[in-house]
Amino acid sequence: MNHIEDKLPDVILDSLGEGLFTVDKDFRINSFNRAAEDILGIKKQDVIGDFCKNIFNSKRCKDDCPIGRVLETGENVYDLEGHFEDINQNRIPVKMNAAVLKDKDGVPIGGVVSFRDMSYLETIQQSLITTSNFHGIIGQHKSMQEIYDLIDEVSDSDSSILIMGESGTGKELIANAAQITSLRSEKPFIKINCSVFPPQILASELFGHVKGSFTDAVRDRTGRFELADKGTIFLDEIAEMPLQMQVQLLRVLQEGTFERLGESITRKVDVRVIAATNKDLENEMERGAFREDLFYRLNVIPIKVPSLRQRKSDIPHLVQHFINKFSLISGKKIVEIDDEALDILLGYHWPGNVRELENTIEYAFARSKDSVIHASKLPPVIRRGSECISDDVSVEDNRKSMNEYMRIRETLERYHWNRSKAATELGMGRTTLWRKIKRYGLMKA
Amino acid sequence: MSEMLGNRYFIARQFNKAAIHLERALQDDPDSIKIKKKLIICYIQTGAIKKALHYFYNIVIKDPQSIINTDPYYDDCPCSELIPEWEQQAKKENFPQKITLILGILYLYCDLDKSIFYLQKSTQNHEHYQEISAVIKKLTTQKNEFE
Repeated sequence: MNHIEDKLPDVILDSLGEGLFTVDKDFRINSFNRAAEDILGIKKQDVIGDFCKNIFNSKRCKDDCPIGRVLETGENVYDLEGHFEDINQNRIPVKMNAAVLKDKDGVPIGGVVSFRDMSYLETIQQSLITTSNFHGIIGQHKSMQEIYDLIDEVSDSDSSILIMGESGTGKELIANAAQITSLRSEKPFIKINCSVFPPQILASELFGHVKGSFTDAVRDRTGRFELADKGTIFLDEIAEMPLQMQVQLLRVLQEGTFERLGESITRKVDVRVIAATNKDLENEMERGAFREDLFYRLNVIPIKVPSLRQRKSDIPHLVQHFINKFSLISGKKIVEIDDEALDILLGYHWPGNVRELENTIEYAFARSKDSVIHASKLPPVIRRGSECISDDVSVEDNRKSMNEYMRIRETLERYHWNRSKAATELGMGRTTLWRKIKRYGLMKA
Repeated sequence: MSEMLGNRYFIARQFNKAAIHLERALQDDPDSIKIKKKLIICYIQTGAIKKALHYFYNIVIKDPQSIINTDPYYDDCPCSELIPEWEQQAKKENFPQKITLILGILYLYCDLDKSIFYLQKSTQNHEHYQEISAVIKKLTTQKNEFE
């Protein structure tokens, strides 16, 4: 190899925007790229040969090392949130990816961690939280004030919470607020969306499994209930949980016990459950899809989140909040919305609730060139759907268009914005879907 | 997986788990002093003193310098954290034989004189008197060579 080829790996690593370091099998750093130097203010020559835990001083190094996690699970780690310490001992929030490096025989000889500095996002988040009304939630309507009061009142309770509300109303934010104000706020907070996983995988996700318990179970796995021990678990879309698993969940709620898949050892946990659904659970019980005993166990502290159309007086606050948020993220100097645009937003039905409003502002934000959002920059479906606008679109057309908009958006979200999968599900071609996404001004939240 | 995963747990001071993986790693590399040095500490911390003594004896007789030359920082040796705890316990229990042996072993990673001192304290009527005495003899020779 000539001189240039010798240096090539370093040149490649230094050209990356992400911080990156590698360790040997003793966890001593053996490479450290330029972006890592910039993010942490530490020079490469000062870290090579030292243990990574001595450099990064992250709580995770001891409890949940990302490379350790890859070694334990055999699966690479993506977007793991954590903190590193820079040279001045400032905490730098990062998102990490990790993988294990192996020799030709598959024996681990080291690991690689890449990381992105997320300080800007934390600043944004902090700034938005301080301007929110209650732990990141925006809303001054009486119905929201009642929810804040309720969360405060039950903050020293360990009882289950059932959050009910239409899609996009902010049920997860309510769960976050309930957790952060609780006595378990310093303990693990584990979230899982029950609708995302097929039944067997959901059981494994919740309760864990032992090696060989099903075809893909190549090693033991800890379930989320175990990970949440002493803390809180958030079960989103609880109505989608299969009946068989509802029995197991009921047992965890009643006795705090469960077994991993494929194992007969009974494990005990102390977990507070917060569940959420956009379905009417009483209807679900009537049609036999949801167990009555489980409902009463979960419904100890019921919280009904109002739809956005039930609290339209909050729309101006929410709009301003989203304008601030997107200004901080994009750096675009948009400061307000004009009266005509606000009237349109106030006249719209918001079937997709706050999430739809956020998407709407994001869309308008992307299209706006000056410091004010004008009505013409709002998505067509919102302008047509607003009661304030009497154009030539018939009510029936409008309804159809709204339904299609919602159907497409929900499908895209369900498939994490994978357009091929969403198009198949919707029974349309990818190009048609792309056209409709543009037409409706849909954007990933 | 074993050695690297064992190292990961050792760094995190999860000695129980570290011992399991380092034992497996030792099967693949039975002469590895690096693995044995870590296993000695894992065994002490998990109450398997006989196993710790076995590897300790094994290394000291062959090459005591490989333990004596341990650098607390660059070898990530936990002895500076562990010794004060054991010494405190030893004082509380009036220096029982088991803990003086532990201190004798741990001190070799950072202080030869104290290691010899505690090993001598632990020998009386010890079931492993012969091994401990052989270790003391070897270490005393080393010390004299230094001086």
